[in-house]
Amino acid sequence: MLLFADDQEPPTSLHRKALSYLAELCEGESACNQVHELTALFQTGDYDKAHEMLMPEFDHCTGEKCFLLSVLKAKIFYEKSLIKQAINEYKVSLDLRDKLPPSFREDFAIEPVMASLLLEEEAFLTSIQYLRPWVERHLASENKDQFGGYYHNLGIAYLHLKKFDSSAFYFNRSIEIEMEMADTLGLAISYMDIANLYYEQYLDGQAIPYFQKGLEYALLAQEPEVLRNAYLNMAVVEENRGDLQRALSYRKDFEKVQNTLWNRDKVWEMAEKEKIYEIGLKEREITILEQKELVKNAELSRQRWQIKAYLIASVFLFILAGVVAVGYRIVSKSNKQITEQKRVLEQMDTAKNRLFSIVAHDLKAPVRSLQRSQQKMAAAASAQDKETLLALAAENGHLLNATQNLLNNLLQWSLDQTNQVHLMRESIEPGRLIEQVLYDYEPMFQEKGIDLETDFVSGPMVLVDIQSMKVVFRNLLDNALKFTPKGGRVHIATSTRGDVVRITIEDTGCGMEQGVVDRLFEISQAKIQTGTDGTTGTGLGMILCQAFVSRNGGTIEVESQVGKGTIITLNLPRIAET
Amino acid sequence: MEKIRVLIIEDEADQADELQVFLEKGGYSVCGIADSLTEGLGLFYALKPDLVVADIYLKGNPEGISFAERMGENMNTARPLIFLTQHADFETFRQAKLVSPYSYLLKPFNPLELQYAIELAMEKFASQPGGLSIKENALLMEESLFVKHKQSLIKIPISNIEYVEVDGKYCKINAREGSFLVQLSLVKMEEKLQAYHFLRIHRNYIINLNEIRQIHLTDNQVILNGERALPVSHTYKDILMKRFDVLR
Repeated sequence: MLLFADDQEPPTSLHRKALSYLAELCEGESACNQVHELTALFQTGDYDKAHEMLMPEFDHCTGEKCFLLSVLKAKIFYEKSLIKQAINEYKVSLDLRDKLPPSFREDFAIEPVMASLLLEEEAFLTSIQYLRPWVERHLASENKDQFGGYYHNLGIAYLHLKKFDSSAFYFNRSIEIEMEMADTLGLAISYMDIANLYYEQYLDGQAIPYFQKGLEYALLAQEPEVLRNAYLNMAVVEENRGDLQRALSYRKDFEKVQNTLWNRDKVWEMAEKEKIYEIGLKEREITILEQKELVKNAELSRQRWQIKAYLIASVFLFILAGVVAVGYRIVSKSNKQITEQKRVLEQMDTAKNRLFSIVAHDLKAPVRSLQRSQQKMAAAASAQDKETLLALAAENGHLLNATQNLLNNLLQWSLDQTNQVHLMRESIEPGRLIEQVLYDYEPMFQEKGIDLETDFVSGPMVLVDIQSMKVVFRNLLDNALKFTPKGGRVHIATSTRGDVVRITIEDTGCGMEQGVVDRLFEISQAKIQTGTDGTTGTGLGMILCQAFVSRNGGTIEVESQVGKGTIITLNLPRIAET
Repeated sequence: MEKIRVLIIEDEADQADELQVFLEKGGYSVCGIADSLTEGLGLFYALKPDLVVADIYLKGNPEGISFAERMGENMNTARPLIFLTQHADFETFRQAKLVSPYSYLLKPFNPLELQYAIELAMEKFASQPGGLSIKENALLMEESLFVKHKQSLIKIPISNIEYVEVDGKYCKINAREGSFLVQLSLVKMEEKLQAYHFLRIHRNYIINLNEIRQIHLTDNQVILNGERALPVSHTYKDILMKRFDVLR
């Protein structure tokens, strides 16, 4: 009885797929590296190590990952020829797969693999139970070569179970596909198997042509083992038929192929042995070389240490020198800074002292005037001189106004000097800002008989702190009011020049000498000016104006001619319109 | 035309009086005066003013700021706010860098400064910088259009607007209370009014759909409740019919 069982290797794609799924699933570098390592182990065939790596992973896996690990574990069992364990593990895989989305059922065709393993274990009925439903569910149109194998396996299983009809059906389907694929080797095997099928049933007439066909295809396929079986089959068949001459000829052919197979195996063995011997030689050489290198390395590392030591020492010395140099520079620089700061502080101190004396003078004058006026008022009151009283009251009003302005400026100045002014910038049309300040001044200009003209452009905007700019305009309007005589004219205009908004305040006042203009923003006693009503100005207002305008990103310019008037120009950056 | 209703929170009676005089001269109406945080909050929720002017310090405590915080907790009922502050407190106030938008008024102030502070408070509240103080003169807030009109602000409820028409570069709002020129283009106006029942029917007109009395399809005309007949141009006819279907 001859049966040629096909031990077909299960599709290897299962574990590859599992590994690529794991690679997609992994999170974090270490986990992903582990998957790469595992893939490498599977490629090199180091399944023991792969197994070692796989086992701890089962402790903390869920769903998809458990399934993938199980597929890999089964593959390892298979590769270690532990077929029964492999089958059991694939059963586990199948259970896990059923809990996953249906796409996994399509991607991981475990059933055919199971079936072929079961076939190896001669569990034919179980094999069929796995393979047949799967084959029926899937169409042979995809993966034709694989389906040829599946049909073949089914044929063999049925053949062993002596279900000849089913067996013949599947062998024929297998042949159909192999024909289509021009798979001569598969055809040789299939024809021989189907021949055996008939031969089993003693249908020799049907069997023999198949055996012959099997031999034809075996000759085409040139696979010695299959060819050997084909010859042997024919020899046995002819012998049984009584054609001894043919049987002998086939038997001779069989032995010829058998011999070449043996020779091939022997040549292989010899080559293996030679290889082992040569490897031994090479290994010995390598050990010798390694020892030599060890000695050399020891020498080298000693030298390297020497170099390193020199290097470290020199770097250390260099750094030390650098530190000393830098330290020296810092000390001398800070000394310089200290002297510079001292100079500036001294300057500021003298400026402040000067300011105090100016302010004291400025405060003393109105207070003295008020005192005098107070006495006059008392006298006028007792004389019931209402007119004089009213005139004195108006005069006192002016004095108090001037004094209040001075005090306001002092407060602003001290806030500015101690960095307590926090600017809140807002966009505003300059005309809109000036008009708010002007509202309070209009009656005063009117009272003094000064023409007030405004000419504001609408549109251009500036980004400024409104409160500090109001202080600036109050001071400038104060000055214009104070230094312009009755019947004079004050003209306020805004205009744009490029990305700058210009604000000009032009008066027909008494003007200043160039020397005064030049020192307008310095704190000094020398520039005290007398207003048209005899009140004096210290220039503190102008200093404040300059400080605040520059804090708002602008500049201030002064043009003046004695007897003609003064033009103050503010330049403020204009906001780009949106 | 409605006057804008202002709530004053100020503990010094003469200051409150002065503020009231300024506001009323400027065309605003003062709906209440509170002198404490508690009363201020009570009046605020009871009167639902359009604007609040609050002194930062009430009886020596920064209750004005507390008021702003309490009001800011509910954005649905919050209103534009102006802080009143003394010069002495101003630096501390500036340093506080309050998060919620507000404007401020430094005492003593004049009517122009008050008007500017009001405009700024409204703009900041509506997140429409420059909506009133620069170029444009209209602000949309809470179902109402605020229009700068003769140095003051007036409030026109959106539902009172019958239609808007092009007037040169800008547009004219025709409401029950009268017509107002707004320094906005019709396109901008359309954007603002889109969320309400307004629709463009002609390159020159946007109408309040609730004001339609009749549509004459053959004449391509819409008759408004106020008897006014407006042309419907071909471009906008289909959209109008669709909208009208939905409304019917």
